[in-house]
Amino acid sequence: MRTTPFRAALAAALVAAPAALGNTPAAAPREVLPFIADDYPKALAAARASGKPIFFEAWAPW
Amino acid sequence: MRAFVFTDKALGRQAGRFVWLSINTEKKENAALLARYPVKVWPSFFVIDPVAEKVIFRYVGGATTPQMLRVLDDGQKAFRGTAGAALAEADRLYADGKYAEAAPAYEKALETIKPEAPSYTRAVESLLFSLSTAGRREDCAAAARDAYPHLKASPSAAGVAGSGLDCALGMKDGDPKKAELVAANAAFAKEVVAGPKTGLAADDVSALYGSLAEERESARDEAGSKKWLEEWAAYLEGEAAKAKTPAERTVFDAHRTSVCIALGQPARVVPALQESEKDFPGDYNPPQRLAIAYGAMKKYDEALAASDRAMALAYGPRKLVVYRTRVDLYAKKGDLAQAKKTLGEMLAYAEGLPKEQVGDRTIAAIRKQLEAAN
Repeated sequence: MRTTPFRAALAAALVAAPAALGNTPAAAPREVLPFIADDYPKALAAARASGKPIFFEAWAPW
Repeated sequence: MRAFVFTDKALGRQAGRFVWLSINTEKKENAALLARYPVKVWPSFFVIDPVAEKVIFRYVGGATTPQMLRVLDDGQKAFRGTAGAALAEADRLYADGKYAEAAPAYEKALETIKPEAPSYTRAVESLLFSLSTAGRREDCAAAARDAYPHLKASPSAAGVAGSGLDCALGMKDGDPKKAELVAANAAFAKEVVAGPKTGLAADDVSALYGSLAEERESARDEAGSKKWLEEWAAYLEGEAAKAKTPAERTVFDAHRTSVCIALGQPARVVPALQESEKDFPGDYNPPQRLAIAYGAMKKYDEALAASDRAMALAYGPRKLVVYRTRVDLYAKKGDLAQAKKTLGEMLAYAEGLPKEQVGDRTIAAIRKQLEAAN
């Protein structure tokens, strides 16, 4: 994990830098985990029904 | 993460442990959810108690597969209430985003967690993030210096060395302890980039090169800084060349663009960005980065054409970055009328975003710039 944004070179280049290198754009490779995409009510209902916690991934396409 | 970790078959066996939810924070329909679960760092991972609808465990930043497996174990322990009391208390504060309070709680927990214990590395990482976020940079740099020898053979080595170096560089000039902490953490960072990088997160390693370049820049050593930028570019190009898929390759584009521009060699990254735009025609990122690279080359018409393509694909709060680039391109081209017009469009767009996706300060800053242009 690395969360402190590095500064000088990137700032000079006008490119905003998230914590990670970048994310997978459209046509992403197949994930091995059964992620429910952008549907919190569905995940909440499934978690309550199964008694499992929700693993919540917050990501952005950059 | 999405290209390398969540596609790793080693994680497939974990499917039954959680209900898995991915949230694209750029989408307008997710704005209300972000008010409930604020996100400040990307990516962020939460474990949520579905009954209380409360974050009970938090991890921020990228991870390798072994690190993610540890996160899943610790997240499940937090849900079941089976973590050690001191670490559980620190994790609870961290999950609540109370970093100033979480930092001393992690310091206390680490008094009893041995370096060989499974939770040690994550506790150290969470401590460093808490200290950094709370503005305790000297303590962050010192904690990284003290922890690194225990972690140097682990996937966390790059992240810990880098966090320590960034914290040390962020200390006030004239602080009598700054030089020693910068030197110690820079030595660790150099050790990581000189050694075998197998098992390390590429984003951690990439960020280390950036920190090492910054360390030389802060020492007013231009040649030394340039050397690290060159090594950084070579590392990223080497990793991109090893990518098995276009998706794996394109994750290096952002840093490659930045470092090539910092080196004064923006043309160097253009072929890679053109390839990414061809491979991912629905993604705004490649043309946005091309706009920046062409702008650095003073090819403003090509830059604006690329910006047009990015604008057509971008959405959410990140579209403000596309607008910002266009404003800068027009200004550098000398077309101040178009720069001002684009600034007005940017303000209207920002004002139309959900308040959870754009801060009042951002809108105020755009408005102030527009007023100054009038």
